[in-house]
Amino acid sequence: MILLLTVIAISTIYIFIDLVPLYKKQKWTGFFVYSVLLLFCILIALLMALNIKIPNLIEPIQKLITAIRGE
Amino acid sequence: MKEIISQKHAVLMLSFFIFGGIAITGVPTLQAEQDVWIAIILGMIMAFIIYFVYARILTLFPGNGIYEVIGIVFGKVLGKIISLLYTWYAFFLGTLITIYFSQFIRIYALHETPDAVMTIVMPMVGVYAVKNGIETIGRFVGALFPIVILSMITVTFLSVYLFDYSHIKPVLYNGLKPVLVNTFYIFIRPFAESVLLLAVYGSLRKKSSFYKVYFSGLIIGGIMVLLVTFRTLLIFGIHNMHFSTYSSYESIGLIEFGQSFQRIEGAVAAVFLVTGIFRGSICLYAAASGLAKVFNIQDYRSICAPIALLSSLYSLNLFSSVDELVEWNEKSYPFYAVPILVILPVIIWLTAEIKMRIAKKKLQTSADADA
Repeated sequence: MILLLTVIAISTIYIFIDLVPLYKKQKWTGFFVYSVLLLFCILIALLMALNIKIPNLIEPIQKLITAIRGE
Repeated sequence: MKEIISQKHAVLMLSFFIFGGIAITGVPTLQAEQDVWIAIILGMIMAFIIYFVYARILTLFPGNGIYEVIGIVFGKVLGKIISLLYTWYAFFLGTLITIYFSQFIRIYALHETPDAVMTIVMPMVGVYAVKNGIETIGRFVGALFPIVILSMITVTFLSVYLFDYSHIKPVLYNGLKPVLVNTFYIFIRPFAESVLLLAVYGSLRKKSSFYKVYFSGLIIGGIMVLLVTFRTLLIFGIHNMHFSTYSSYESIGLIEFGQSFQRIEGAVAAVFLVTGIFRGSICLYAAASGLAKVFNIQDYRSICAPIALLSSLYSLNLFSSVDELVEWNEKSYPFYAVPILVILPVIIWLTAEIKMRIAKKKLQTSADADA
């Protein structure tokens, strides 16, 4: 829960520092990419707070490399 | 306004980037054991070859970073896919650096502090650095470099009394093969990882030589790596190096003169952490500028903050312990990184050369027709 609160607090600061100026300057692509990334961060923090396992990309990569190397 | 970095700062950035890769962890030593210093020298020779490719790519398109070059060479769609690959690699390497350094602080200094605090706070320093621009990062490295060199030389001189020269013997006891395998690992980390600086060197001052930057940076960085590895090996011996995740740092902890002069590793740790923050900043810069290029965003600085936050959260999920990270780094990482660090740059270089030659021929033919 501490993680989720930290992420929300930091996200709020970032919204005022970065996202509001992007909106005011009407830089919509930047605004959209920024918003999606930030929402994604909050979503991951929420999942972690709820102890839901997030898919780890390392495992399939490691399995693939091990298979190629024939170990 | 376009940012400009001087040739001197570019050289120091490369050396710092190379050195930062092994500053607290040391180089991979699993295969070559006490002959790791030979593997470093061979790794430097291999790096010379790939650095020639990196420098050539930038020389063909001066004033352009890797993402611009990819766009010119491969066109819009394929260019964006390849740019995304580099962006991913920058993001991934940044995540690994965050894990290494946050775990380091947790193990040696702030034992009770939750992982989340360190992993979220550290990249925020990187965000601040990147928001100030690559020019500022260059100046920061320029100012800090003498301090790093001074601390390295001082610590090496102070540790001479601990040197046990039997630690580097027998030379080539297991033959050349394990040394060559280890050379490959060292070539990837820390040398070839500097592919990310291709994104930075688009801002290099006009008339600077990319070859000079790459080769001087490699020599300075390589000597630093060699010096730190030799020192750790002579103090610690290869077996202790295997068992310690942060061998360079721990070996310095053994230095003491009486009761008044000891535990100098704290001062050195600060220098090491700065190299970590610098490497993290470069990764963040490369990831942000790559993503900005893919989505046609003019200012990469405007999107670096959520990338850093995402990297922090990702680092909390990636490995359950630092040992798992070390295992990944020693067994899988080089094979995972080779396509991005070696194969893709070679493909980009060859395609760029062919395209440039065709364009030159066309120009010549049209000039002849006009005449």
